[in-house]
Amino acid sequence: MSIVRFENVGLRYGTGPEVLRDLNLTLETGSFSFLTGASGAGKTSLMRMLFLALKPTRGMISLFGENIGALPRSRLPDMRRRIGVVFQEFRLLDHLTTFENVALPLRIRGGKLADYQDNVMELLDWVGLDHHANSYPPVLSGGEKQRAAIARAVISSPELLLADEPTGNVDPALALRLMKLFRQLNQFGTTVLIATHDTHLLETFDVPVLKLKDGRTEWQT
Amino acid sequence: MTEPVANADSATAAVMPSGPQKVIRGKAKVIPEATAPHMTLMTAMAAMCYLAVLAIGALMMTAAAVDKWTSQVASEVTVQISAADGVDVEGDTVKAARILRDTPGIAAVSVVSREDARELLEPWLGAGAVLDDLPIPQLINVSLDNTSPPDLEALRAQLAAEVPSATLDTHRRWQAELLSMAGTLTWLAIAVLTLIAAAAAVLVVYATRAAMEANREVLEVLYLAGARDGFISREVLWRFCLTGLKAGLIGALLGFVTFVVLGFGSGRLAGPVKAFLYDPLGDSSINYAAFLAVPLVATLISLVTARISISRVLKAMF
Repeated sequence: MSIVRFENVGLRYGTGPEVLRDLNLTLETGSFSFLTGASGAGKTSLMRMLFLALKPTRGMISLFGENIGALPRSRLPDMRRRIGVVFQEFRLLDHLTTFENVALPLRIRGGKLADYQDNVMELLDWVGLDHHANSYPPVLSGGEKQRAAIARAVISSPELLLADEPTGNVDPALALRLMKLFRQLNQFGTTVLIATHDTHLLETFDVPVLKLKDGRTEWQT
Repeated sequence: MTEPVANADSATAAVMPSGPQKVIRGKAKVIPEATAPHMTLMTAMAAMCYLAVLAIGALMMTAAAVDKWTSQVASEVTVQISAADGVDVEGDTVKAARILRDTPGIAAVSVVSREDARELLEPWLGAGAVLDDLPIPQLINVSLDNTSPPDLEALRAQLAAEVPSATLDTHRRWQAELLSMAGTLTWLAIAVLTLIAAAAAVLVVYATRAAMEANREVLEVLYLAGARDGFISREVLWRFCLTGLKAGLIGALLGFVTFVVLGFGSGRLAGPVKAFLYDPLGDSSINYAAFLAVPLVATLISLVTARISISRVLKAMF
């Protein structure tokens, strides 16, 4: 069963040329895939469409079996809550502590601090940031921010995890550890799509690779 | 989930103590306070509220003064005995006074002496001998019993029949003019208050947009994490309510101080202002309620306007 389906999807910014065209792709539930392509190929645009930050200019995107183009605006938060996102630039909120950043999705869902505190601390421990629970993002290193962003993306056990260059700011050793973390999540049932242009990473892990070239996608195994 | 992923990288590892006893800070506001728009809004709103208090105070004082004047005018009538040739002024005065005293609903009848009449005319005609030569009409002041006032039309008819030289002046024309002036001032005050409320609403709209724009990045993260409009509205809204309330209280306080200063500083205004300020348990208590209404209305305007504005901005943003 597919969790993501694109049919003839095209995207253009304003009146410019199409940056993505005739995309037809399917992600199966529980799959683990890479999305790759040259810099500027449109990986981030594709990811932004997947986490509902961008609307395609044509075509149909189906997420969790629903045509998102036909969904009313009021239902989009429900869809977004099923998706975990690791942004390329982390996008941690500087005025919140690491704990508060990681707990943000739970707080948005109306969770109480007393109910989620242990879960968040456990996850922070898992990503090695428990000692930074009360630290603010500006004092974290790049790798720590990356891990905090990942923890925030997975705290609510999303069905689909989208990570945009999640290893772009860390050393190779940590990149491998983060990848193991994603594999672990995948084993727990989360569908994972990771956008990266790190060829070493692509060679290390034997998973399907979706390649973006000239605005189109093709699978490579 | 037990495998630690990393424990090496940290130049900042010592920033916070670790351990299970650590107190977790987990309740910070999700949307940071954009101080500048709120300070600007509060200053402008406080000025609006101050103007609103002045307008309400002026309206209240005008209403109180008009009420006092009209009730005085309404409780008195005057009978005038014409001093025309052939009229027995003294005899007609006695006859008219008797009719008046015999009329139910009249509390007191007082014949104005010639000396008092001269005093009344002196400011206009001077104190010279000219007053002695003038045929000054005889005036009779009549106080009415407001609880059961007489039928003035019947009284007028009786006087016309029995004392043709007497005319009854009920001061209705002055009363009507006073009421007309009071009505005009009331509408003027309402128009001013409406304009103030509209201007305050516009201010809130701009401040809301500025605050939302300043936090666009945060809002986007919240949205992508699944936040609904209601969640974001609640996070932003309370601050606008608080700003409106603070501004209203500041404006009301400044307005109150202004009236106190006016009360102490102006002998001419002292009467109504003192009644306005120093009679909280009397009829003037409604004035204090009106003052307190300003912060409440300011809060309400902030709440409603910000709610609508936030909703529109969010729909436009995402």
